[in-house]
Amino acid sequence: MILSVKNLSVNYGAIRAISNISLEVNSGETVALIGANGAGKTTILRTISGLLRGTAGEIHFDGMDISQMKPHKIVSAGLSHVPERRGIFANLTVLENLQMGGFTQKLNATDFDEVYSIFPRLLERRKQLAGTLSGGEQQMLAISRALLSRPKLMLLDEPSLGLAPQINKSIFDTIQKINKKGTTVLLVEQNAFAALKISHRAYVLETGNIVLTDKSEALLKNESVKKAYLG
Amino acid sequence: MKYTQWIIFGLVIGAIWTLGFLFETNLNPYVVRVIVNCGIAMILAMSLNLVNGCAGQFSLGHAGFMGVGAYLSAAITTLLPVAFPQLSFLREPLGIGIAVVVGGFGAGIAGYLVGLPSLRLRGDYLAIVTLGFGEIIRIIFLNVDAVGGPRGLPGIPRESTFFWVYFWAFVTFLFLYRLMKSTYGRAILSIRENEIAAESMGIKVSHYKVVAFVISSFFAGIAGALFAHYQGFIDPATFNFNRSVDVVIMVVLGGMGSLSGALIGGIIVSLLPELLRMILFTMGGLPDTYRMVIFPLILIVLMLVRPVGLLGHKEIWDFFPSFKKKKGVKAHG
Repeated sequence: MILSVKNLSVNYGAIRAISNISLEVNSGETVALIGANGAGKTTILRTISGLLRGTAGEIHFDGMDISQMKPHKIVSAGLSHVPERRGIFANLTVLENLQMGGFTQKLNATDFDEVYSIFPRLLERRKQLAGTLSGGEQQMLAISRALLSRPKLMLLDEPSLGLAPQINKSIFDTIQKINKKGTTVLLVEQNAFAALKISHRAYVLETGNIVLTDKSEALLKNESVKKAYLG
Repeated sequence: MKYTQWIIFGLVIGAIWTLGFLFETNLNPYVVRVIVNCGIAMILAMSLNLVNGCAGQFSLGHAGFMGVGAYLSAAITTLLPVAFPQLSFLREPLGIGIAVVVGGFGAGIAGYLVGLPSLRLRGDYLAIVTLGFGEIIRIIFLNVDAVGGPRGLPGIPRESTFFWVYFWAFVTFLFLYRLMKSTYGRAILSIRENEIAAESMGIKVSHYKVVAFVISSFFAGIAGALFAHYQGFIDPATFNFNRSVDVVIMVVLGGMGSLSGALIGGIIVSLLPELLRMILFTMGGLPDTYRMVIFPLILIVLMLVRPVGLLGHKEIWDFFPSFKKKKGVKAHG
């Protein structure tokens, strides 16, 4: 088990966003976290990566308690977060963006070559300002940037947000490829169908509570999930 | 630095010295004064650009840090030799050089103390807090009688010349240029671009903000110290809010985040009022005060025509690609 979250609660001021949830991610898995708007998916990811602080509960990553760790320490420990809406540095070049990804590491040419082999488009566009890329390319850049910090676990927040269905497919294929190469993935998605297709297990989140968890294949056939999320 | 870089460094210093010598012997003192003030403005603009332009944190208290540098260095060269006659060497050029650097470090420490709590704020809130701190620093000088209070501090040895001002402007430029090319500089830029993403990339956002603020305050302090030893007299009113705004105008005018833009902004904001004075004088009739009407009008027109500032995010050498070495960008670091 690479990540285990136990009885985590998160508050925004007086409002409780996450109440008492527990989840686990095993090494080598792709785990999806699905749910509607405002269910608390992003909040969970941000709390895991240290951008938010939980009010109660434990977060263990790779044998360490990271619930009180600073974000930059968590990144160095091998957990990288691809933020919602990609969060690329629009006025830096593609190459500079990638270099920022390796901020906590000493990178060499092979690291970059590996990323370019997954996303050849980025090699072509490395001198361009990242803000001039298309939405899909920006998402590829955000994922590559996270890969360059050599994560053991990658948190992906809504990679399909605002992208054309055609591009979504290739993004999800790539996530599967990255997972097969050995990076564990925790994926947050509104597009439940696509997320369940590429993940091993999934948690269904509803207004701050986990209401269902199972193998993704089983959830795809589950009647209530079908009704609520798959249409 | 490599061998050739040291030679270039030496040549530039030599050129500054020669220019200073030529200017001070040939030009009339008024013109030299304008040029020297322009150099001080350039140091201020470049240093503020690091915080406002590169790190994207809007600070409005730059004059306060300039004041710390000015008062600290002036106290060392003017008050210390009076209190302790054995320290009279502090009035010699070498002592003044030391005082200028100490003034810079003093301002840097002030920047650290101000930056640590206030850089948790963003945008307008940060602007207001830095404005407040700038005023607090000024009011402290206004009420400390040892440095003259509202009467100001006269009798400062007037030893900062064209050479020293432009020497420091060159050092500031070189330091900030190298900084922004480094990993440190890229971390500072990424904070401006997207704070959350920067944080999730493993960048200690608060640390880099404070570092940028301290470096910026250090050079503001240097500029203040040079200013004090050029004027020979300082008073708290010199470092009021208006001066902070002047520096912000230089940065915005030149283009936020552009080092060469800050240089150009500094030149324009310090030279344009003087040029207007000359123009109004040759036209005769029109009173001198009109220049302070025309000057803001020019700025307004410029902001309407080019809201990103003269250079935007770019540097002046980006506009002349043929001058750049044709190295090509490598595929990795």
